[in-house]
Amino acid sequence: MLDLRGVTKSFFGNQVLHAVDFNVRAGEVHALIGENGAGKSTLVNIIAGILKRDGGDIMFDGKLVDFGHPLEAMTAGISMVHQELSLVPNISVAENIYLRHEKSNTLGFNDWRAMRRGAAEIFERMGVDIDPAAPVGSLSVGMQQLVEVAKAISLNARLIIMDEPTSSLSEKEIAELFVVVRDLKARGIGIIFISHKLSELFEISDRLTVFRDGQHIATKDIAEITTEDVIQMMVGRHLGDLFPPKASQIGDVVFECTNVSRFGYVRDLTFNLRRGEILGLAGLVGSGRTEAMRAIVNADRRLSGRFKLNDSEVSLSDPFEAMRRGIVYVSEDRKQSGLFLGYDISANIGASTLQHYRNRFGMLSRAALRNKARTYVDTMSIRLPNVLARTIDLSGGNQQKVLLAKALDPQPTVLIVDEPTRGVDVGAKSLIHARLRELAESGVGVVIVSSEMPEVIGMSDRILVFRNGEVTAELDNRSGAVTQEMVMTHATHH
Amino acid sequence: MNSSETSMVHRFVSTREALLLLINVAIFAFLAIMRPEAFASWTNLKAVLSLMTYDLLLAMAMTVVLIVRGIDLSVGSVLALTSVTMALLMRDGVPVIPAVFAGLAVALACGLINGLLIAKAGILPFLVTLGMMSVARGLATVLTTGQYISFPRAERWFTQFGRFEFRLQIGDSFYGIPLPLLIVLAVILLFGLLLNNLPLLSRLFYVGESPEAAKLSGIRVDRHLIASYLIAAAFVWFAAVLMTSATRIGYANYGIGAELRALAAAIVGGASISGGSGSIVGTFLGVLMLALIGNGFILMNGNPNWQQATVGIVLIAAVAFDAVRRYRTGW
Amino acid sequence: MPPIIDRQSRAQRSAGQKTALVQYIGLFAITLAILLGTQLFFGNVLTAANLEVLAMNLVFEGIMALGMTFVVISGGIDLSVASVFAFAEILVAKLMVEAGLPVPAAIVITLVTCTGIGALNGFMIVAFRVHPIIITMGTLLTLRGVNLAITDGRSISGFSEGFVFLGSGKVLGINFPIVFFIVTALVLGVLLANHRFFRQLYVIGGGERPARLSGINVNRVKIIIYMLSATLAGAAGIMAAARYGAAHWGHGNLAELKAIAAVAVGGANINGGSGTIGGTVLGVIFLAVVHNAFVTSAVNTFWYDVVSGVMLLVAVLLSRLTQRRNLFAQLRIRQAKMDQIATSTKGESL
Repeated sequence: MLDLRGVTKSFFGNQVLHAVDFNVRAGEVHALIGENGAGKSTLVNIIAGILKRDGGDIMFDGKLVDFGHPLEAMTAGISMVHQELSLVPNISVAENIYLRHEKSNTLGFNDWRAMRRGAAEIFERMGVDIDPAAPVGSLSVGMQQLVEVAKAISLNARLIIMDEPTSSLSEKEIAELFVVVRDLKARGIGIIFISHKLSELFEISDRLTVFRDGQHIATKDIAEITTEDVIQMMVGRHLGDLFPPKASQIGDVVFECTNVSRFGYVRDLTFNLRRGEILGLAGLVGSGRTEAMRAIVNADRRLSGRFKLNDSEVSLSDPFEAMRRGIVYVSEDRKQSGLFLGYDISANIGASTLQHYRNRFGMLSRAALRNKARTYVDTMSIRLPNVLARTIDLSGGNQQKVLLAKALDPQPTVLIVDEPTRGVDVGAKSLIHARLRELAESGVGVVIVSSEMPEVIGMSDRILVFRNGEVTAELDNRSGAVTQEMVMTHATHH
Repeated sequence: MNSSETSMVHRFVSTREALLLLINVAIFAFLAIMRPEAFASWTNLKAVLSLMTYDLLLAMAMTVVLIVRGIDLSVGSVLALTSVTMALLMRDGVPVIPAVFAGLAVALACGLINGLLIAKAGILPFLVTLGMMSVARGLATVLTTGQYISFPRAERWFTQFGRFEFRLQIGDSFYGIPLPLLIVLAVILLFGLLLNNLPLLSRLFYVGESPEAAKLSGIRVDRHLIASYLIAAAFVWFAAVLMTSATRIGYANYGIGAELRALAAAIVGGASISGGSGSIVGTFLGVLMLALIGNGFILMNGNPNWQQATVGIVLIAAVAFDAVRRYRTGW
Repeated sequence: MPPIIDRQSRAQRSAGQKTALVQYIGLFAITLAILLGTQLFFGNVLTAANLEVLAMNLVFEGIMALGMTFVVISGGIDLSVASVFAFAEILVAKLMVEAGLPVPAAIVITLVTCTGIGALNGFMIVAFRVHPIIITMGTLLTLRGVNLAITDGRSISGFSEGFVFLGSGKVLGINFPIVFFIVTALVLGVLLANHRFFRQLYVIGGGERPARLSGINVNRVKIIIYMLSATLAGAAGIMAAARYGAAHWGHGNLAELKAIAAVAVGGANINGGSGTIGGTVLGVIFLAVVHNAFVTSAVNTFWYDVVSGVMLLVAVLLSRLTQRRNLFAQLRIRQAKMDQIATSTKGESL
C-alpha cells in the first residue's frame, strides 16, 4: 500500500537518506530498525508529512502523493504515533483524539457526549479501558501512547507509524499495546514499527527492514532471520572509520564515583576512571547515561552520590564546584545548553574562565582572550568566516569544536563529553577524536557518552553499557576486542 | 564604544549604537535649526538633561535585569517606597546618613525578594515584579496615606545637594551644571565599563544568553540572577535619593509609569527581553532620544501631552525595525 | 489486563480533577470566609446596597479579566487593556458629545475601533515575533498618550439619559454592567468550554509547534484573541463612561494588573495552556471581596494595593507548586518502573 522509491533527504548538506526504497503492505507490521542516526526517524517523518523529501517518489494506495503538511498525510490515511507525545496535557482524552476533526454541530459547538462515546468505542475495540473524560496529563506515558493509537484509529488511518512506542512502557503496557497492534493488523491496517528492542520486533512484526547510515540495508521476512543476523546487518562493518590508537598507558584512578542516583533516571551508579583512559558509556537513547553525567556535576539534583578525586573526597555540589575541582561536563545539546550562540568564539571559550583573562587592573583583557581563542582556532582547525562571527553562524562541526575548546580552557582533570560528534561532518569528527585521545594521553581522564556504537568502541579503552538507568556490563576494550554485538546485547532488553 | 567591546555582545549592537547616535544627532540638529533660540538655550538643555537623570538610573536598572533575561516592573514603585522611607525617617529626626542607608536597605530588600522569587521559586520575572510593583506602591501609600512628606529637620546639605550646580564661565555667560547629573553620568560610565570589563559582571551576559549553558559552564546562575535584581535595586535607590533631595519631599506617587519609560529606553537601546544583550551606551542613547523627542514636542508647539504616546511609538518602531532586520538576515 | 489500566486511569483522573476542584473550592471557601468574617465583625456587608457597591467596584476589571483569560490560555498577555478601556471612554464620549452622533452609532464605532486596536496588537505580535509584553506595552504607552493628548487631560461629560443607562441602569434590579459581566462570562465560558474554535487556545498554549503540526492556524487564532480582549476592554470602557458620567484618560489606570491578578488567582497558568472562565470569575469575586473587606473594616484602604500584589504572588507561587508536584509524580512513575525492571532482571539472573 505504501511504496517509496529512491527517497533522498539531506540536512545542511549532510545527506541522511541515500535513495531509499521502502514499502509496507496492508495488514502487516513492518519493523524498522537501525542505530541512532541511521535515518529511520527522518524516513518516517517524510512519510508522515512532517519533513519534505529532496527527491524520490512516494506512492500511497497506488497514487503518487506529496504531503506538504502532516494534516494532508492524516486525511490521506497516514498517522504517526510520536516518540515525544504530541498530545495536549490539559484537555481530555476524547478531545485529544478528536483534535482538528471534532464532532461538533454546525455552530462549532463540540458534542462532548458523541466524542466521549466515540472514544469509548475505539477503546473498546482496542480492548483497553481508558476514561475518555480524563485529562491526558493525568495518564501514564503508556496510556498516552494508546491514546495516540486511538487518535490514529479515529482518523481512519490505514497506515500507522509507531516511533519507538515501547521505549517508556512497562512490560504490562507493552503486552497491552501488542494486543492492540495485532488487532489493527487483523483489520488490514499497515503498521511501521520502530524499536530498538529486538525481542519485541521478533514477537510482533512480519517483515523487518534494517537501516544504516541513511541506507536501506535489507528487508527480510521475520521468519527467515535470527537476532544475530539483524545485529550483524545493523552494525555492519565500519572499516572505513579510522579511530586513534588506544591508550599507550593507563595510570592510577583519578576519579571515583559511588552510588550516584537520580530519582527516576539513574540507580546506584558506581565507577572509576583512570588517568590516560577513555571510558565510553554506551547504551540506547534514554538509558540514563546523560542523566547520570549531569547528576555527577549536580546540574540536575541527584539523590545520592559520593566522589573521590585523586583519592580525596569532593562534594561536587553544583557545576561551578565541579568545574573548580577540574571536572567538566560537555552537554550533548550544543545549541540549547552548550554554546552561547549569539556570542563570538572568544566569548564562548572564555565562558568558564573569564577570571583568567585579566589585566593588572583586574579588568577583562579581551586581547588575551582573543589570542587564546586564536590558538584554539589553530589547534582545532576551526573555520570561521571572521574572528567576530557569532557561533550561531558556524557549521555544526565548527560549533562542536568551539564547544570542546570551551571545555578545555579550564584545563580539566576529568572531561565528560556527551555525544562529542553528533551531527558533525567526517573531517571534524576525526579531528575531535584525535584531540580527545591526545587529551587522554596527556593524563586527563576522559568519559565519552555516545549513541554511535562505532564511536564508543573505536574510542574507548573501557566501556560501560547502560540500560534502564543502570550499568549492565563493563567491557575491557584495550585490545579492541569489543564488538558491536556484545554492546548491543547488553544494551537491549532481551 | 571601542572595538574590543563588540566581541562581547552581538556585533549589531555596536552598529545599533552608531545608528542611535545618528538619530539623536539628527533630532538635535532638527530642533536646533527649527527652534534655535528655544532649544539651544542652556536653560532648555539643562532642563532636558536634568529630567533625564532619574530616567537614566531606572533605565540602567532595567538594562541590568533585561541582560539576565528578566524584567523589573517594580522600579517606579520601589523608587517611591524608598523615597517615602527616607523622607519619613528624616522627618522624624533621623540624621540623613542613617536615613539614606535605611532607604538602601528597603530597596535592596525589594530587589532581594524579586530575585529570590525569580531564581529560587522559578516564577516569571514579569509576574514577580508586577506583584512587587503593587506591593511597594501600596506600602508607600500606606506609610504616607498619600501625603507629601517633607523633612524640614534634615541637615541642609542633603536638601541642597540635589539642586547644586557648578557654575562654569565660558566667555561672558555662565553655565550651571547640575551636580546630580554629573554624578549620574559618572556612575553610569563607571558601571558601563565594569559591566563589560569586570569578569564578575560580564558573566551576567552569559546567564541571559543561555541560562542552561551558563550553568554547565560553571556559572552560578541563581546567584547572578539575584545579584542583578540587587544591582537594579541599588540604581533605583540612587534615583530615589536624588529625587528626594532635589524635590525636598517624599511622595508615594513618584515614578508612576517610569518602569515603562525605562523599559522602552532599554529596548530601544538594544536590550532584548530574551536576554543576553543590552548596553549601557545604548540605553543612555535611548533615554536621550526619548527625552529629546519629548522636548521637541513642546518646542514645536506640539501638544506636550503627545509626549507619552511617542514613547510607545518609538518602542514599537524599534521592535519593528529589529524584526525587519531579522527577516533580512534570516536569523 | 485491562482492569489494571482501568483502576489506574480512574484514580489518576479523579486526582487530576480533584486538584482543579480543590483549587476552586478553596478559593470559593476563602472568599466566603472573608465575606462572612467582615459581616460578623463590621456588619452591613451582606446588604443589597453594599453587595452592589462591592460588585461595581471591580466589574470593569472583571470584564477585562474575561478577555485576559483567553489571551493567557493561548500563552500571551495583554497589557494594553486599561489604555483601550480609557480610550473607549473618551472615544464614545467625543462621538456623542462633540460629534453629536446618536448613542448606538457611537457605541458601534467605538467597539469597532477597539477591535481594530486588538487586531493591530495581534498582528504585530505575530509579525514581529516579539514577546506580547513588549508589543502590548507599546500599545499601552501609545494609547495612554493619545488619550491624554486628545482630551488635554480634561474629562468629557454631558451624556444623554439613554447612554447613562449603560452604566447605572438596572435590569431585573441589577446594575447593567454587572448583568453584562454575568452574561458575557456565561457566553464566553460556554464558548471556551465547548466551542471548537476556542478549544484551540489550549493547544496553542500547550505548545505552538505541536499546534502548528496538528494544523491549527496559530497566527489567525492569536490575532482573533487579541481582538476579543480589546473589544471587551472597549465595552467595559463604554459602560464606565456611562457609570461615571464622564470620560477621563486616567480612568482604569493599572486595571491590567487587576485583570491579570484575577486570572492568576483563578488558577490559570500564566505560561499558557490552562485556565477557565469560571476560575477567572472566582478570582474577580475574590479580589472584589478583599477590596470590600478593606473598605468596610475601615483599615486604611491603601492596604488594598499591597494585598492584591501579595495575592498575585501567592497565586503564582501556588500554581508553581502544583506544577512541581505533577513533575514529581511523573518522576515517581519512572522510578517505580525502573525499580520494577531492576528487580525482575535480578530475579532472572538468580
